[in-house]
Amino acid sequence: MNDDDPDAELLARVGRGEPRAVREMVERKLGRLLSLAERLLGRRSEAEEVAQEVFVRLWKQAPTWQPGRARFDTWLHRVALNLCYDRLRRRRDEAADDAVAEAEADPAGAPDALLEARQRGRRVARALAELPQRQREALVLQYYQQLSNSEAAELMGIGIEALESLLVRARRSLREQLVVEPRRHDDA
Amino acid sequence: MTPERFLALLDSCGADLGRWPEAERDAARALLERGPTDLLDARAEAAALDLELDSHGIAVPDAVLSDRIAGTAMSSAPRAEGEARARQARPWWHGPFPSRAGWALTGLAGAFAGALVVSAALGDSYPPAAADWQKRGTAFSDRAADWSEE
Repeated sequence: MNDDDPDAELLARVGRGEPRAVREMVERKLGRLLSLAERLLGRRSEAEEVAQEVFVRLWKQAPTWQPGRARFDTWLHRVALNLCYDRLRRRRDEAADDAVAEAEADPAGAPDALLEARQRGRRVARALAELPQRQREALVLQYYQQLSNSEAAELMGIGIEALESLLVRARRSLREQLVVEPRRHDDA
Repeated sequence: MTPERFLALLDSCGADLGRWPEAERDAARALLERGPTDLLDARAEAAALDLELDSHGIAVPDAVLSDRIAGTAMSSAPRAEGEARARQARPWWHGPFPSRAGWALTGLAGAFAGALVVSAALGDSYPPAAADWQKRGTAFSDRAADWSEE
């Protein structure tokens, strides 16, 4: 068993078909998968479909999983990424704005602070959606999914320097849109 | 760590040193403790972006989705277990290797049994000796049917 893999024991229990382990695995990984897929795809409904598909593959893989080859979480990210790539490829021609068009409507009578937080979140989602795909992937994997630079680079099939370069460009672009531009607007 | 490397990591990984490559965190902390103003300012700027990025939260998965996904495991895991049980319950010759050996043995046994049945049915009737054929008439050995006389 791979001692470094924090998911190995749970995965083995899932492989033996323990219902409690299945439930625990969903609790442990579903939020993480949605976080990845929704930030990459910009659509909740698609992110949920991707997450479901990843879990179906997980259930099939669990009984024959060979510890030590790769960290389970990295494998999970790879499967999710590939499914997201497929979907992004299919709608490559769509405008970036469409990707965040599905944002939920604000509930009537919500407190101002909540509305403001939602608006900020949407602004970031829109800015993320406008990033070139590889920059977005790098940022989502490294920042939001909190993978190490080497893990993110490996998943993307690039070197660490290339990953850092993508991250620098992504953050500069986002900083301009989310920090500098609003300041200019406020000063005017 | 050089200030240039510090700024490069700040640009790529953000203000939280916990997101930086583990091998470089201590050196970064040591550099910050010296309090260089330009690096501290740059870090505050990176933190402002981090704050914005953190405002993009993802809704917690609802119970319906969790149940549906767990249900997909319930419907596929028992199938996998059932298959394993069925494999164990099958006769030994149905397995991958025994299957081939089993079929081969069955074929040999069939051939042997067939040979026994044929030999029992024929009893002591042996094929006629070559000389007997000459004594037996055939459709072609009847002289009356010799077309030369017609």
